[in-house]
Amino acid sequence: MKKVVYYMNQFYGGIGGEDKAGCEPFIQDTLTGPGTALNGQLNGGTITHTIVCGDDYMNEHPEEAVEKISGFLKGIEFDLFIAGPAFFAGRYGVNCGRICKYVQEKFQVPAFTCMYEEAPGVEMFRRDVYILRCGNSAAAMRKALKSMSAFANKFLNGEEILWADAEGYFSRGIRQQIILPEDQTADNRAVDMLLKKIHGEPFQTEMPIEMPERAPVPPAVRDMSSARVAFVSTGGIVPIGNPDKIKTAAAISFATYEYPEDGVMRPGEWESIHGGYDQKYADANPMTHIPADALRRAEREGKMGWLLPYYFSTTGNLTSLTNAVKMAKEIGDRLREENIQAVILGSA
Amino acid sequence: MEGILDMDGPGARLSNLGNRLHLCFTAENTDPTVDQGQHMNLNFRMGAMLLAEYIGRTVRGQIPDEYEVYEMVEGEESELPKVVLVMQLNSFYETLGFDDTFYGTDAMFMTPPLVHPNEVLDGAVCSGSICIAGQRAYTYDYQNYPMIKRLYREHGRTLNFAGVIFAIVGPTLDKKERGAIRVAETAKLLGCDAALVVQPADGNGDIDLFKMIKNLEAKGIKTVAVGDENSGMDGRTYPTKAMLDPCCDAYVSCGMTCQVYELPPMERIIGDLESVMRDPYPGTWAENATYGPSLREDGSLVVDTHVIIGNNGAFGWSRKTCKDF
Repeated sequence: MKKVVYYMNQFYGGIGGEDKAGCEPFIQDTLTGPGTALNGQLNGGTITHTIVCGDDYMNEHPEEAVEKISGFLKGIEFDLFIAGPAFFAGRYGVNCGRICKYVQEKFQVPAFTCMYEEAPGVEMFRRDVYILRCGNSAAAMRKALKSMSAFANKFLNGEEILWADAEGYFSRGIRQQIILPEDQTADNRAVDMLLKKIHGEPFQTEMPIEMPERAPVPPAVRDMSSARVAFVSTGGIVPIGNPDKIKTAAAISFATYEYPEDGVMRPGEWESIHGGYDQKYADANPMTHIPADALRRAEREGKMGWLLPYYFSTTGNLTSLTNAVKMAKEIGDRLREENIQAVILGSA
Repeated sequence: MEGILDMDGPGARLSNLGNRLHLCFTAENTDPTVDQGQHMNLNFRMGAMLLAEYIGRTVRGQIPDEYEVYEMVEGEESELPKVVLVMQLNSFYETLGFDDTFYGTDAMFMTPPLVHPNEVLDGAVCSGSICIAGQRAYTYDYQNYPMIKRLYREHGRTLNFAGVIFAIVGPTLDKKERGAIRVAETAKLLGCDAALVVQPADGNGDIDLFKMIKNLEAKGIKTVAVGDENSGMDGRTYPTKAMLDPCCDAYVSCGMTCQVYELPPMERIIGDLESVMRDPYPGTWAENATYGPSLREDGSLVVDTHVIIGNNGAFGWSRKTCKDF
């Protein structure tokens, strides 16, 4: 009989609601909350332990929380780790994804969770762990537990995990070749698809093509000598200490920093926090990324009308398209408020 | 050629050639100072072709035990939608001897011609099959082209099979553009309602493919493309082809160009297994951080589908597709 560890928050763990969200993690060898129903649907394994942790506690102390949970798990044997379902919950979903990813990497044991498609945890962790789809509220609990137990049983009985649509999990972004039944050869599939397309019947392409939305190219700046110019960078140059806590990868925020009075950004005062390249060159000379001196000189020499006295900074590595578009729109609004006519975009 | 054909292990299901009878030609250069590498070795290729010709001569004038008849009756008109088959040929090796040939002429020199499907089945096309074993149409594929046979079966029933247009993989951008224009013009002149476009190899030919689809769709010719995908060995590279365009809303995916497989040790091996390490072919490697060397001490292999002869199968053989995991 294989052993399963089940993670849930303080609410489903029966501790309390928001007032108990700061509760530190604890482990128990009894079933609680949805654990009873889930366990009843497992075959080939059983839930031996339940871990409960407050949403706020893990959210505010992620490292301490996973360390503590890691300590609990070191003492026990287990074959599968399950968290959630978190439905549309923000913190709970992120915490489920975070702990599953951690357990999977640290203990080399499969781990999965379950969320609603718009929960923030999906985008953050679907590339790392299996996240099953479920409804957006606890009203969908029965269905969620049914798909979670079916998925768990596949692991417990050593069955092959099929592709995302077949199993009902969010794609991890991995594309793989599969072998189809004998009659589904390419000529049959192609002629079937062609006849459907000819007759205007619905058909499904086997390779969906998603193209990023294209930003229209603005007209050229006619007279740079009177243009108001701004500098935006995804190179990750920030004042030493990263005061705005911009993430080193998969950034979700940006910040603005004023150029020094004399237009020279010196090593020791600025640093690169970009996690996607060797930062030593940028640390040695931050102006490899933010050419403050050259910008000031161009302004002085009349090559541009006016330089916005601060630049926009974020990191561009592994930044999701959704977050990049969101930041670009916010930065665009700010630039419009400043009546900027031209932007220099410096990458890493 | 420069690939591996698994006839018994987990790779056997990947290619239509895995369960057929093969006559293998093996040779060594008598001068040991000559590079023994397989890549672009014209002597080996010429030897294999001479052998094929010799075998062919032995049955000359005889009636085969089994044969199939495919014909297009002239003046046979119907209201059924008119469909053309567009086949991309291998045509970008500027050194002669490695491209597909059409009536003996290197396909690099052609602008896309209109061809009778029987010319293909009867052997007017000979494969160059250079370099990437998993992504080439072989002469056998051309002579037994399942997509042509399937369209013949539909002919007069659900559609009118209008003919075949050869497309190219242009070695330069102007040739790609010229090729794509010519394919669409020919299809339009034939009065086609729809086109099936078959691509045996990905890479820079994707540009020719998508330019063709764009031009065909722009002329109102409904197009379905058939080819493979490349998402990298980790399956996470996007875009999956060198060029993508949303004008392609119908794509039959025949598999992944670089899916990793483990092939167990085999009792009988024809050819030189050590060459996997000596001249790593596309799809094999001397060292890899994740998988280690392709050839292991026990004789087992870890390879990707670039090296599996006939993995692509877009001419109709393929039973594979790709899914999101």
